[in-house]
Amino acid sequence: MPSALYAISYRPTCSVVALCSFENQDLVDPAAWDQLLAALVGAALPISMSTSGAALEIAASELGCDLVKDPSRQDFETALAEPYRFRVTLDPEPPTLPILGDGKEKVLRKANKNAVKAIALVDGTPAQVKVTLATAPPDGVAARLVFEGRDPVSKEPSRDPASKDLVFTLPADVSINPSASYGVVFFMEGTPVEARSVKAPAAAKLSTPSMPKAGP
Amino acid sequence: MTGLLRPSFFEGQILGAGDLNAHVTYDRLGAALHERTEHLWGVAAGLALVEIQRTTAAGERYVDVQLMPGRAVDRLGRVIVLTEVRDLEPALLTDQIAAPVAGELYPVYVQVIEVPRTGETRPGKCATTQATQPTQIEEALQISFGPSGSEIPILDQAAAPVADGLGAPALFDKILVGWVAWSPPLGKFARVETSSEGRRVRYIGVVASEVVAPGGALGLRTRPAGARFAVTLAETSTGGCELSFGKQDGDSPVTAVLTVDDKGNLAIKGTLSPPPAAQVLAESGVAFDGVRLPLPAGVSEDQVSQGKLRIHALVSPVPVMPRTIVFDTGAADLAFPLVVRCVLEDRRVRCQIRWFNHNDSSIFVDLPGACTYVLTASGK
Repeated sequence: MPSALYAISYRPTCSVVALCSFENQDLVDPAAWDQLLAALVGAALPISMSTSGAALEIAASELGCDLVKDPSRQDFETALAEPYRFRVTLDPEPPTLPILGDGKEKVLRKANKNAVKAIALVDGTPAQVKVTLATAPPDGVAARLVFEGRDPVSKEPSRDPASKDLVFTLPADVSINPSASYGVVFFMEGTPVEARSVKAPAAAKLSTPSMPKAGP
Repeated sequence: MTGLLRPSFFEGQILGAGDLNAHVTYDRLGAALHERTEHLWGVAAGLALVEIQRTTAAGERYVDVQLMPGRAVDRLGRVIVLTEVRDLEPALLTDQIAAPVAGELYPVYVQVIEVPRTGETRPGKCATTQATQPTQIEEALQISFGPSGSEIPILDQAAAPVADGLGAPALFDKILVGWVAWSPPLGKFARVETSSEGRRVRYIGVVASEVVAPGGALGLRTRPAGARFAVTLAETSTGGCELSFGKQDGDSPVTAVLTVDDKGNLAIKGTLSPPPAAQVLAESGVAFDGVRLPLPAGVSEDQVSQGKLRIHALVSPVPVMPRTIVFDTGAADLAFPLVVRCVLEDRRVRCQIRWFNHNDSSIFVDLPGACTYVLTASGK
């Protein structure tokens, strides 16, 4: 077992957890934490996609780095196998999101069960990404999406309160090629992070006006 | 004639003044050549400038400056001795420095000056002219000031060569004893300094290719007394020897931060940078895909980037058990893992596990994984 366990979390949601461990680090000030983050991450943290496509990168400035109290053996092994199913928080858990990188010891907690069921590119101009959850998301909880090559979409997605779907509108200059795969990472407070490669529908299913319909 | 001439007398010889002066000259030359060839010129002891705080009636502060007794040797090997405290007269500075300004540091020098003296008692004196002839030469000391920066060529002077004999005294055969600052409105000294822009008083040295201790212990110390640093080489009671460096307070034992014994064992209380080839620093732990492996404590990125250290790392995937996986189709099913990649790219972990659907191996998804690692850094 490592003598110290560190986690890297995505700032807005505390959901992306990358694990590593090392010893004899004495970090007491913000500059030292930034230095640690730079040492562990460099300029950006690559998030591997579910296919062999290029990794999607999250800039180090978007990440937090915290000391995490040694978890139980079982939690540790589970976290190593599925780190995205964990989040870092204070113990006891505060009503608001904890501040990452503040030097306070955090704990690993499992994300809730409202997992992502599907992620799909949606017909239209501009293109959209539809994330379908197991249950409808609670009000007031921000959800975010990182689309490959783009900064995180940090605004509230369009949402029907009764729907399990969250629809993110991509910037107008994003062009989607039929049948191509795109890296997407979804974050929502308390929900497991989902990083996967999403395949665009075939040309016949895209309703872009300039795209001719295939077949009768 | 290329050697020294030593006066030699015989019984019944009538001695003239020249014979006696030749004896004195022989001794003077021997002493001067000893100083110039076996030592480096400079202040030998004392001759420190001391400031005495004063206040005018209006409450303005200034200092009086005194030169303490001491001894020095100049570049000609002449000895300068001051046996009593001497005051530095402010008027002397204004006589020698045209318009002294505040903030400048003016070097203070001492210099040999020979002053003929008439003896008080002289048996057999009769002639008036003989009564006024000097019979002693006072090797006196003269204080002078120089413009700021004038100490640079003074400090750089080399000793006069042997061929110069006693040498011809020149205006620049001076010895620096410190600096003073001036207070123009008061016409007084403002303060005393012992250094200026990194330059310091030059002290005497030793010219030697070998230094031998008479009693089994040798020391080099940064100051004659008080808190200082020392390098000592001393034989031990067990028949060995130890070289040590550290702080020393007065005559207390040296608090060594570095020692080397007669067997070649080196002990230090600080760190070696960069680490020697024999020293290997290691780091180990668990890292997830995407994370850069941290360097061992005490190793910097600069040392690695400059090629001063050699890094070796070994990564091994953390075993994972079959579990339910959500495939890209959105379907969740039991899947079996297979590690397809576990490598380092510029110390960044790239670990991917391919999860195969237990019913159909053509359905799979690649997910990041974790690995254990060992990373070592060693000197080249």
